[in-house]
Amino acid sequence: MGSTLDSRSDVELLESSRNGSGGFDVFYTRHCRAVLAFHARQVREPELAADLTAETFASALLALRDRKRRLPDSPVAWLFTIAQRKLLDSYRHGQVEDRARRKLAFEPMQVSDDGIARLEQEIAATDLLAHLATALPADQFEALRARVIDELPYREIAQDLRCSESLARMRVSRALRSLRSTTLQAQREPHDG
Amino acid sequence: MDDILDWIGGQLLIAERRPLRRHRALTIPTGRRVVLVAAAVVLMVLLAAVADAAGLINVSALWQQQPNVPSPEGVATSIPSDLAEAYAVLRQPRDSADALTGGPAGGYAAITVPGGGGGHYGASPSLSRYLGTIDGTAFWLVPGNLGSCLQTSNDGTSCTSNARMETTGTLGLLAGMAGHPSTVLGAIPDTASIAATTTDGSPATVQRASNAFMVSGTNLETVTIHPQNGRNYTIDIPETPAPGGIGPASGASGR
Repeated sequence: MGSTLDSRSDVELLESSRNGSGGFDVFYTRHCRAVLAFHARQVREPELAADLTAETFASALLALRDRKRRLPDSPVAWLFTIAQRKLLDSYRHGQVEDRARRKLAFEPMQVSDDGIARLEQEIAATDLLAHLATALPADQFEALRARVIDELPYREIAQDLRCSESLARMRVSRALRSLRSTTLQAQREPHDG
Repeated sequence: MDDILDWIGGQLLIAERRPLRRHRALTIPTGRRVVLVAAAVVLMVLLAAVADAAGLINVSALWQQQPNVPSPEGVATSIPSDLAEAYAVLRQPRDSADALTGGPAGGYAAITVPGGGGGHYGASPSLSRYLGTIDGTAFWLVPGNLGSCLQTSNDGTSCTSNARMETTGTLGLLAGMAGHPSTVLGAIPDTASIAATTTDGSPATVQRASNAFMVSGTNLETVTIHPQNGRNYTIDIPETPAPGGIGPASGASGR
């Protein structure tokens, strides 16, 4: 995997990847454990979380390669938007999609007991919220922590944010809209040729 | 594999360095593309004329995508692994029974003509597998590197991308004229299922031979493929015109 000591920003890494100069491996190394932890909070099983993590990054790479799409201003927010959509898709269809990985000709994933044990260690050692707190503006982080990461009802979000429920809805809505506007339209995957 | 995250990272690194196949098609000169599209249209017209002469008209979906350019990968020399995963018959050794019979002159020109559907997807007759015979129509699956074709002995060819072949498969519709029944035929992956309904809402009988299927009737309403991913694919069957002219079929109930 790429080095985490690379001094380039996430935006620079994604630009470099799009231009054919590499860099996605460094982006992956920086955030793969956080994405894994995000999925593990929802699906509980480490191998499923790894499956979703692979599909999340494969979709991100596919989106990057589509030059018609604008590069994200906030790569971490963009990445977690893709992750959330992959999670929702898996809930909706009852299985983890593998379309992006098939387009990229990934080999089938083989999972051993040792591999699962290591995943569990990585998940336990990753502080997802701390990772996101350093990557997102405070107001977006607070709203998204509740809505995207914890998926709490708006009443609880309002309590957390110390505001009315309707204001919480507005703030979450605005944050999500802001997220969408900075993404590469992750939901719209490239069509078959 | 002990470290799955490292493995995923390795796969991403390989993918990042590998060009996507479909991008190469965009480099084909426009002039050449126009010539190939024209050739494909001529071929489709000829096939439609053959179907018309047999008392049947190909209404919409005999070919899932209009062929325009030949596969930038050329003709396939091996079966893509994802496709083989979706169709057990492709994992079996090929024998003499799997060979297409009749040759290009006998009806499978669409597979071999560069501007045809098979050429568009890089389908190779040398990789074909015999699926079975239903009501006298033999079915072969002809894999390609970008897409694959279903070749029949009597009713033409249907081709589509491998991504679709691996989920919903491919199908063709022969809409009946002058009192003939409409027929839908195709092939679906091992994990998919298929169901059909008649105009009165009752199930229609779907005949199967391995991955191939055929459903036929004068009162066919819908055909639905249920792929493993849960995204059902339904086609509505056009109403059968009455014998001797255009208009509602006298023997068919309302839609």
